[in-house]
Amino acid sequence: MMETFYIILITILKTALYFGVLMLHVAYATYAERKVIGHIQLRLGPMVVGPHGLLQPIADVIKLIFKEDIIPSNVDKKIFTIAPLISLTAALSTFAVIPVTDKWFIADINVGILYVLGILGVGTYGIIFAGWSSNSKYAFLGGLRSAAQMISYEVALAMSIVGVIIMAESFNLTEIVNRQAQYPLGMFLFPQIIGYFVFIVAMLAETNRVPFDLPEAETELVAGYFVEYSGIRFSLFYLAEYLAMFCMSALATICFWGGWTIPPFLLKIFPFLSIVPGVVWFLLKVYFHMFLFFWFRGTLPRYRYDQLMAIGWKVLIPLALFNIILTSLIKYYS
Amino acid sequence: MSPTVIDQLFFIYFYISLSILSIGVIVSRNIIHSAFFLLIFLLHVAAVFLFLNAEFLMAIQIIVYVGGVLALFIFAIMVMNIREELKHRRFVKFAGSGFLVSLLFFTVFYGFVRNIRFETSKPLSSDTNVLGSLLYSYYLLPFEILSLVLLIALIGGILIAKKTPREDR
Repeated sequence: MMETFYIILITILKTALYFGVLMLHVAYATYAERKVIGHIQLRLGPMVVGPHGLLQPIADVIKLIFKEDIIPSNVDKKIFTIAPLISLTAALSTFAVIPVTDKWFIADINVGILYVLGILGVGTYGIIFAGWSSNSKYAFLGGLRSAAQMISYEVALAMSIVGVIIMAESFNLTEIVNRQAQYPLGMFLFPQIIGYFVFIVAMLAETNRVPFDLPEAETELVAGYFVEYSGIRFSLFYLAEYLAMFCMSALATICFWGGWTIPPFLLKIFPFLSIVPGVVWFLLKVYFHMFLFFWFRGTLPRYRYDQLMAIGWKVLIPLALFNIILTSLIKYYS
Repeated sequence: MSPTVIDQLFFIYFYISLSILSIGVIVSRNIIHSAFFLLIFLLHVAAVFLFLNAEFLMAIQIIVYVGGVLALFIFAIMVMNIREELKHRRFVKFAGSGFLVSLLFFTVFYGFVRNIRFETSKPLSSDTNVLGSLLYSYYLLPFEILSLVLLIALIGGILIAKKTPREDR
């Protein structure tokens, strides 16, 4: 009996710690995005609040919390208020199974990767319900676009990981990382380069980021599905989007970049690297993928909607299927 | 309070909420509200699978039903005009016969379930490996037949969708 309570208590403490660290990461991801894009466009980005604008995210959070929470008339009030919570809960729940090192995780379940993919799909409902309940044409169109886009790209995203699952022979995220250490390069990135390419493109589309940010294309739809939201509810959507980005980055890190491990050949050349804790490697790889998101946003124009669908169904899914067949053939004959 | 008591409390919670949610699905007038209840209902079913030590089924339940089927439902609902639907009277005329049919169904169902004796084997540590090896050895023929049926349904769906007259011809 005491043991059960002990386990529950530890889990709650761990969850609180993860939550705090995640929120800090999200706040400073918005700052990093503005800085990175600023420097890409030869601007300075936020500079006023604090040294180099370092306190800008905190000022933004305070502003968003104290803003008036406006609920327009003629909206479906119940669904309107629940929609941002669905998005946020789905994005947060994925982190329950993501291991930071081989000892740091909240839950280590056998079907971790399937769980992450499934829960990410639930986040779509927040967007669909927000678009429908707002009673606004812009929001509705944004919601419709987002629904079609996320359903299509979920298929490509799931298929791109199948190659990794075949090589690792497990759905468990910790097991996938441990298997990668046995390969000479220490990561699945090079044997699974096709899968990684498909994953990166599908990842951009799943999180509604440039060049696939059609649900919130500001020149056509003002802001897409969250036009009618303001104050704290608006920031919940924002939070969910950045959490989903972090989740995707973590998934890419675990599945393709070897998680918290260092490639063995690097360790042979620089033996002193072994004193660096695994968390540092994990975070470095996650930050690289976050930088990738910002970099794409600063570089690429937005795709047209029919181009988006054509890329998803005619390029990415056949590529992912080819990757699955290739991987299983190599696995079978070696 | 032993772990089994906690388990049982969770089970009671899930069965009560499952019944309430399933009533909510058919009672709500607004079809999007129905879909919302169905979403929570399916997530609860996934949780019940988890309590029965079927992790793989839990994940597949979320991916297939929550991520796929229901999303397509809502996608279809959203392009319909549900304002018309709200004006219609409800189908209360058949409530009596519906009650009788459900009573009959549950009587037969109870008679069927009553005689089942469960094997109390110890739960497997991972059902995923067992499922995979069984599916590709013992259940290979049903598995192949099912995939064939799905393929036929897929081709049929495409054929029906292609039949609609196109405006550019």
